[in-house]
Amino acid sequence: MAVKTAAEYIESVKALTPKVYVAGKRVENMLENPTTLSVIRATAKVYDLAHDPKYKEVMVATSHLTGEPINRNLNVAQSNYDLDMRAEMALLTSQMLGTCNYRCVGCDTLNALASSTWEMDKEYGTEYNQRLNNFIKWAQANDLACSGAITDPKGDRFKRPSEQDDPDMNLRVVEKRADGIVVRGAKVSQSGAIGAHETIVLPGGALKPGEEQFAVAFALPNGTPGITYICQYTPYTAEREAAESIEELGNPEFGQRETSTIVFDDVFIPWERVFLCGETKYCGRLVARFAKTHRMNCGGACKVGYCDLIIGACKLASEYTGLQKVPHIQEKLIDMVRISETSHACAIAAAAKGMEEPVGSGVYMPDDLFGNVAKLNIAHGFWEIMKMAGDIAGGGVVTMPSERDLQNPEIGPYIQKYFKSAAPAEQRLRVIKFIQNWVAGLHGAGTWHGAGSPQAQRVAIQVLTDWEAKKQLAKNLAHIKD
Amino acid sequence: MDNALPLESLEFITVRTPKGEETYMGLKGTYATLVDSCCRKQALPGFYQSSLLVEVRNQEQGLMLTLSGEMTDEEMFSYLNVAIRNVGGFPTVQNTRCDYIVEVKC
Repeated sequence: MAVKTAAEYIESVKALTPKVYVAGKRVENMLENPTTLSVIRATAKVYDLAHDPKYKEVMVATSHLTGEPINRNLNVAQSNYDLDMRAEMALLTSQMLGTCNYRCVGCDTLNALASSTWEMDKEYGTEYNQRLNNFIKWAQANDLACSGAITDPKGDRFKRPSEQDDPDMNLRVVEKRADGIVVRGAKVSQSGAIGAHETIVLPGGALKPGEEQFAVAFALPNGTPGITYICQYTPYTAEREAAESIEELGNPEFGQRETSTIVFDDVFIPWERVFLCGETKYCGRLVARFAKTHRMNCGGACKVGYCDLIIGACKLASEYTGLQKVPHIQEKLIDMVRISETSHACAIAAAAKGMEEPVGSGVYMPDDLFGNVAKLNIAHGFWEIMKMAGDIAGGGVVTMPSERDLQNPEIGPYIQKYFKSAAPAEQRLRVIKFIQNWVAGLHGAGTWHGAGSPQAQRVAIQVLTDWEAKKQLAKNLAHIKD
Repeated sequence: MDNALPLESLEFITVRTPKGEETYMGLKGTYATLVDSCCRKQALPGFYQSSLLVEVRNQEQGLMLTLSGEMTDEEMFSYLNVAIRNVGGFPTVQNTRCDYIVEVKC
């Protein structure tokens, strides 16, 4: 049971009835609503990959706590090899899904907590690390899908959490009891939480003394009373709802990335599931460790997998239209690979140069600079790639008829006649629809902001770069004396 | 490596209806979450109609829940199965340990 199959995962979520809303309506059955079903399908595929012998090396790890085989989404990295395989998993799942591995953020929150709880226990004599290890063992034994929740609504961004008119703008502890805590607030932009068994919640950023009520990290089952999920609603949601067949859609099975706002209405969390409570000093460190891990995986691997899909579709589109030998199209395809693989190389470097952090914890964290460069590079590069994809695919990306027109007995023959090129109309329309899913979809802005907006990476790079060393190198060669 | 999940980090909840019982296993704190939901929020986890839970009583070793309407044992078990799964517990065939008893009637 340690590595669940897709069928076992689906069976396990059938019994869960979290309070989920899509477009103002309660979703009574997540397997019947087209939007929530796409999340469950994608998560099931991630479970499925762990049982494919081709992908076992990437998708299955050995638990450092029990020695048992586990899904890598629940692994805490213990070596550079683990970091490398973690990034490879992000690459593989993106290539296979064309949307989020909805277990990804949960994995990175567990790694950040493993490192930080160990350090907190050393300083404060707390028992957070043992609690976390018990939770991880439980999650591993039951192969639970864990999502991660970090981003608070924040309110007026110019004000600190404690200065907000409404203190609930940052998730906070409103009551401490003998058996646990009660939290109130919200977390926004949470990828795929609705299809997970558990959500791991971290503070939204660094905190100062006096802001203890906002310093909280915990795990909670997704059906815990008081939790409400309000799903994003986009033109792609509407398109999926309206579709008569998923074959009409750009990413038929797995869709665009689905997120939700999670509202915590005085939710009880037992102490056994609380991994930080009041230790403001560690909030910045915890979030920074999450960020460096997630930027390696998101920027240098996940989005590279998306780029592989876009590049592959563009190559097909050029062949279908008979333009594959046109020099400017070949150049654009090469540029797309250059941009994408530069970020990929940064993820490989971040894993290779990663180190145990803190020393003695056994937890490996990727190199911070390379992780941030990977993410910043792809944030800009992804737009560039989509610009070139739109160019190669042509105006059809935004003017094409639908698959339903093709299937219509009266107008279908027109579509077949006029959309045929070097390939039949059906193939051509499907590849253009697939490219539309990216070029006119949500992933551009998603890639820009996911794992932190580029300004966050710029700040990190500013701090992490040894400017003095670079200046000295220049001085040495130019014979500049102070 | 400290191997398997220590038993002291788990808890076992027996759900008892007039005609039978089933056992669930969860991380410690699962029962406290169930109690908090039933007592403070007056709701059975996973069910959002306020009328379902008619009465909640704390007993020496657990809870006594009264559900509304006429229900078979099977129906009562199915409600509790959803409720406990929603707070992170799973059915188990292990029946030698019982930390808490949740008695259910309608």
